[in-house]
Amino acid sequence: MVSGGREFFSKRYEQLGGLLADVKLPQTVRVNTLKITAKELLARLGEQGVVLKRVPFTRDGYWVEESKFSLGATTEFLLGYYSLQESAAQLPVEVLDPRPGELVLDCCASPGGKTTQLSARMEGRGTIVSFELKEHRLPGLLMNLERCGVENSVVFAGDVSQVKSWKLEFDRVLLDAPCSGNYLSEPGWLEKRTLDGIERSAAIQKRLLKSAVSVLKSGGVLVYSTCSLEPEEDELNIQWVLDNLPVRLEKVSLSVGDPALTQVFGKKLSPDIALCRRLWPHKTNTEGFFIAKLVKL
Amino acid sequence: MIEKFLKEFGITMALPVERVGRSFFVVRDKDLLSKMPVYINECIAHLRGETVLPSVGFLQRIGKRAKWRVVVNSDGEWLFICGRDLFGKSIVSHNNPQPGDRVVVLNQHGECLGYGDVAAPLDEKRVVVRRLFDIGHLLRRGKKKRF
Repeated sequence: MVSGGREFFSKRYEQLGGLLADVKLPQTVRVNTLKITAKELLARLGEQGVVLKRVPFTRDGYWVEESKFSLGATTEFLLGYYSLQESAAQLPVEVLDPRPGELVLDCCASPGGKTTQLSARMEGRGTIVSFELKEHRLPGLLMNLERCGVENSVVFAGDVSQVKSWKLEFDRVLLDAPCSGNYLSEPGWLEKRTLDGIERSAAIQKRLLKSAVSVLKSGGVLVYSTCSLEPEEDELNIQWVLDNLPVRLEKVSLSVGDPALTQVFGKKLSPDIALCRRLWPHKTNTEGFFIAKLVKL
Repeated sequence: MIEKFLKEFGITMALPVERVGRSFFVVRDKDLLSKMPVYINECIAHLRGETVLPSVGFLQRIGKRAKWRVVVNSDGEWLFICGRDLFGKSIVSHNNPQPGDRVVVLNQHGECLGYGDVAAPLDEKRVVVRRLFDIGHLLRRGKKKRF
C-alpha cells in the first residue's frame, strides 16, 4: 500500500474533513516589542514604501502587502526591530502567554522565532531556558537572540530531557515539537513524507512531551504545537498524553482555526481534544498548525 | 580584552563579562552558568581569531559613547551594511575625526551600523572610511570569511 505522495495525503485529509489545497502564504513580520513599538516600525517601513496589514489573530504580526525589497536584509531587520515569522507560527507563544518574571522552558528552540517572541512577551524579565538538539541549527538561533536583543534566555545544546536532573520547576513550557512539517512548509513535501516517517516523529514527540510534563510545576501550563496536519503528531499524541500523563486540557482561545478532531480514521478520542486547535491552510491562509494547551495536575 | 577593544573608541568602561566559548556575556542567571550553556543573557561580543566583534546591542552602546562619529545618508547606509567602505559623498555630518581615527558609523536615526577607520579627509570624493565591521555581518557570517 502506498503511504505517501499527493494522492495519499489528499485522500487522508479528505477523510479528516480537510483539504489539500495549494495556498500562497503571505509574508509575515512580527514586531519585536523589546526594541520598538509597532507604530514606530510601521512609520519607518512605510517611509520606504513597505505596506503592512495587521494580522487580526496575533498581537504583533503584520502581513506584508507590498515591498520593493527583501525584508530579510534591511537595517531595521538587522537591528532586530522585527522578525520574519509566519502568522500561525506566532500563535503557540500567544497561547502560552508567558508573564514577566516567570521561568519558562523552550524545548526545541531553533531557529529562535518563538524564543525571541517569548522574551518580548515577558518584557525581557524572567528566564527562558532553551534547548536545541541539532548543532547545525544553533547558529541561526543564537544570531536571532543577539539580533533581537534577548537578554533573558539561556541556551543549551542538547536534548531537553537533561533538564530533568536540574531540579527546576517551570511555570510554563513551550514544546513546539520537531515534526514532519506540512505540504506548504517545503517544496516536494508530499513526495518526501511517508506514514512511517510520521510515526517516527510521533514517537519522538511523545518522549518530548513526557520530559516537558515532568519539569512543569503543578498548575503550570504546557503548550504543545506542531506545524503538521497529521493526526498521529497532533490529536493522537494528545490522546496519549491524556491517557498517560498528569495533565488536563484547557481551551485554546483563538479566533482562527477549527476545534481539533475528536474522531480520527474511525477512532473516537476524548471529547476534550476539541479544546485544541487545528489550522487547515485552505481555511486560514496560514501554514498547517496544531496547538494544544495542557495544565499539569 | 573587551576593555582594550573599547579603548579603540575612546571609551573607558568596566564590564563584568563571562566568556562562553568564543563569546562574551553579561550574566544574570549565574546559577545556570555551571550547566555549560552556549548562550546566556546579554551577549556582548564574539571573538574571531584575535578580533573582537561586538553584538548588535553592544554596538549601540558603543555608538552612543564613541569619541568619533560619522552620520551617513540612506545610500551610504545601505552600501555600508552590505560591507562596503564609505565615500565622502555619503557622509552628512561628523564631529571632525582625522585620518587614522576610529569612527562609529551612524544612520540618520542615530543607530550605529558599525565602525571603521578614517582613511582620508571626510570631504574628499573617494573612500574616506575603511569599513571594519557592520551589522550586515549577522547575515554574512558563516557564509564567507570577511567580517
